[in-house]
Amino acid sequence: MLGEVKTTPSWRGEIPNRPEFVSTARHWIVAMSRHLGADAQTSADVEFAVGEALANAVEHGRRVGRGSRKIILRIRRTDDGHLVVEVVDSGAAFDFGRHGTRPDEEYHTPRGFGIFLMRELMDEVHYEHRRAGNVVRLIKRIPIAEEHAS
Amino acid sequence: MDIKVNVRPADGETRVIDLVGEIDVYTSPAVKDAITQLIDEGHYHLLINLEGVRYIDSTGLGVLIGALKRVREHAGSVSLVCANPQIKKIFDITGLVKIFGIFETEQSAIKALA
Repeated sequence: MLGEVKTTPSWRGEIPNRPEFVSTARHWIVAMSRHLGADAQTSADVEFAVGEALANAVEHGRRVGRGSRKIILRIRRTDDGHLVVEVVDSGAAFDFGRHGTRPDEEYHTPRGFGIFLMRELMDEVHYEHRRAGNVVRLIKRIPIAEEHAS
Repeated sequence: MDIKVNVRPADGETRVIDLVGEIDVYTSPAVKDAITQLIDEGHYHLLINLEGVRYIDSTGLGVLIGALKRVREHAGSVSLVCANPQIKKIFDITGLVKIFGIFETEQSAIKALA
């Protein structure tokens, strides 16, 4: 859907890849999403989805002994009204496609429970492993704000 | 953002765990430690009050599920107090609403557990 669609200016932030910085990154994403026109509900969904992507980034960074590396966040709004957030970490590749289920009837929480949540909360979730690391792209349509709809 | 954990007795065998803050990959180990200690001490009926929690991720949900699995080995229970609509939405999406008793207020939870 992004194709040739023009976007408004984007913002970029980065944090050390350590769990104590994840909260700061989430709050920054919420502030930026509100600034870009997202309503409270959309911002909340984006926060919870981005939080899962950040948790994954921390876990994968740790697994390959790269805990001191950074996580990069990018956020922008497309002209067709979508919020696009990218979470980039320098961890090893993982099979994003095989994950993504809810806990089963025995309450086993599979790895990738967070990916399931991301997919449920967002309109689109994409993953790719580039030379620089993992890129998770989260896309959410921004509803027309009530004050503009009436 | 940190997490504050407070444990107090309720009516009967139940222990209430008050959580205030955000439960994520950084703070969930503290929540897990508090719950584990209670279970190790023989408290198998837990009421976890999430009224002061504005965020929980899959790591935190995993801690809650782990607690439920452990107490059920002793015929125990884990109930939750949660009025935050976004967190309730997460419990709905994940289907966890079916395995936890979820109450709007602590009063209604204690009444149901009595």
